[in-house]
Amino acid sequence: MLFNVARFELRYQLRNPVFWVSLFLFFLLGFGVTASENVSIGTPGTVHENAPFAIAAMTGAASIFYLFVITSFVANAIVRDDTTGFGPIVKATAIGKRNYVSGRFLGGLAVALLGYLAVPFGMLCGSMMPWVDPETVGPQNPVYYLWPYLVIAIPNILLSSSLLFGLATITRSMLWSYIGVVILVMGYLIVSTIFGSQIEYRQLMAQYEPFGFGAISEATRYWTAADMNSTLLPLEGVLLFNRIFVIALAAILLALTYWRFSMAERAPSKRRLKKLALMQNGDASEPTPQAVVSSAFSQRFDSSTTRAQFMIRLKTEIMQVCAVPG
Amino acid sequence: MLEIVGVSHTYANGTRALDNVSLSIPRGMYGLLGPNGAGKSTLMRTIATLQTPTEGAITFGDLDILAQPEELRKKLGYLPQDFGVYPRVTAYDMLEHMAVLKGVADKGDRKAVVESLLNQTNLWNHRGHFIAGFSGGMRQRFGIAQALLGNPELIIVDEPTAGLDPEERNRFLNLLAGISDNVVIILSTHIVDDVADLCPRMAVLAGGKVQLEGAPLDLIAQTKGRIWKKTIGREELDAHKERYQVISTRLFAGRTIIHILADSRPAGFDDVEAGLEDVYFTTLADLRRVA
Ligand SMILES: Nc1ncnc2c1ncn2[C@@H]1O[C@H](COP(=O)(O)OP(=O)(O)OP(=O)(O)O)[C@@H](O)[C@H]1O
Ligand SMILES: [Mg+2]
Repeated sequence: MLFNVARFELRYQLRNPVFWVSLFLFFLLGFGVTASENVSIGTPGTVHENAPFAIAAMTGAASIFYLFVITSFVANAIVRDDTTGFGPIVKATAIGKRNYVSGRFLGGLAVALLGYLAVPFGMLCGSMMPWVDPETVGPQNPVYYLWPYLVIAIPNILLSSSLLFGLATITRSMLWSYIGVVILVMGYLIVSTIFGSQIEYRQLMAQYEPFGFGAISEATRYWTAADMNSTLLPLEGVLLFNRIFVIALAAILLALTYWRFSMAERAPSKRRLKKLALMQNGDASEPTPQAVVSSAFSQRFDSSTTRAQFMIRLKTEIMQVCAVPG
Repeated sequence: MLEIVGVSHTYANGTRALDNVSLSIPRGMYGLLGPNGAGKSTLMRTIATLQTPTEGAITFGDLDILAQPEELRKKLGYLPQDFGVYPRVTAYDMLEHMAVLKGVADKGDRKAVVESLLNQTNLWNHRGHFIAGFSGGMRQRFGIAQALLGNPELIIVDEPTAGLDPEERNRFLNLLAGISDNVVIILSTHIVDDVADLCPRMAVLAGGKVQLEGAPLDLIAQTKGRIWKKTIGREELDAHKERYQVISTRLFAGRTIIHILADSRPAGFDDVEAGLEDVYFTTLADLRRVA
């Protein structure tokens, strides 16, 4: 059953145009970095376009932007039942909380991981373009692409997915998940720029910075250009610590989400019921509406009508956007 | 078989949708009638374990469904009053997925079950189309198909015939009538005659309370000699409403037929063969008089 739920999720998302658009965009991102001499991320001039270090750095960097895409896979997997209205039908079946939550998560995660393959693939294709100066391209080795995907991308995406899955489960809204992501990314950027530049926090950043940049720069601090062109990231020391930390954090988030999730809508708490009872006692008698409709009003369709129509639509739209979605 | 004892539910906004509802529902079909907002859907969702009531107990056979909702879900078929569907999924794929969720593990069995249900709900020709593109009635039939999947022992269908054309409605009612007598089927509807035709037992819910419970035939018999009818012009209606306890008014060929409740026949009124609708309206009229 779990397998089936995850497979359905995977197949469902593969039909989602968002998946293909993001695949294309992230392919371009990877492609652009290696196919263009002007674009590079923090690598000195003699480092090859397809150096294992460059690939690792890019694999890490793109995973921040990927958060926004993951929202549409992973958050959608859990929010979809509420937004489409199919939820009651699914939740009334014998699927069970465990299969429901983990099946949806694994399906969404699989899609996210699959889609992210576009980045290394884009880099590979980019570095093989005929216009790229052969001087700047090193030997092609599939391991150079796969290793960072394994060590950097998979833990990062696992953490991003768990985070969004939790956010979506608790807020039950795509909009709030997106808002949450924006806030988190902003917060992350602010914190990492403030502390990243300070030497005394370097070790701390390397250990706990969730996308692994601190750990990568710590692990490769004394690398020469030749190292960067030929050495895989060593999965040891601070990098290993960081990756384990990221996976553990993801596991904690998932556990919290699982615990918070409920198949049935819970009844309001005793305290809330008491409050409601108190509120209701204060109700005044309601006015009675006019029973008879008079046809004495007139209808007009001119420019003032158009204005009134526009204003009332505007007001409604603003109210809709500002009202708390839920 | 299904015992509902003292169930009350208050929503988070303070609406008291169910007020101390107790019902004993035997095997076979059970009709739930009630005006809009009576609490029918709330009761059905509660039995379907989709929401926990603020008070009360529900058992199905030996099973305490509030304590073990997952056990009930294994035996449940549920059609919500209104539901949406995922985009970009065909009727066949969705139904087959539902079959997995309902525990039909064997692939061959699943194929057989899905195909026969698509046939029974007359969706076979649309099996390859996206459900999101279905018409309202076709979507409703998809909902029916999934509710009947996998030999449920408890079937809860909330206004299943809403949106069905007359032919499809008949097909569905026949399908429902053909389901084994061992199954508990709870059906809510606004078509009083459907309950009269199908259900050996029924209840009327209004204002979150059970107003009436019993066998339609008994209930109809009880109103015998208390309902009278008269055909009047529209302008006479108000005067009649003041003088008599009018329980229903209906238009027929431009004239108004009123049914009234009285212990003996007032002058100018005729006998009627009372139907379940009169029972229903009498119950509601009583309720209004008390209020
Ligand atoms: N999710 C909800 N939150 C708050 N109040 C609700 C909710 N769902 C229903 N209610 C309220 O509970 C009451 C009963 O609603 P319910 O949907 O059970 O009625 P119903 O008998 O199914 O009506 P209908 O014939 O229109 O389907 C109504 O007053 C309704 O406004
Ligand atoms: Mg309803």
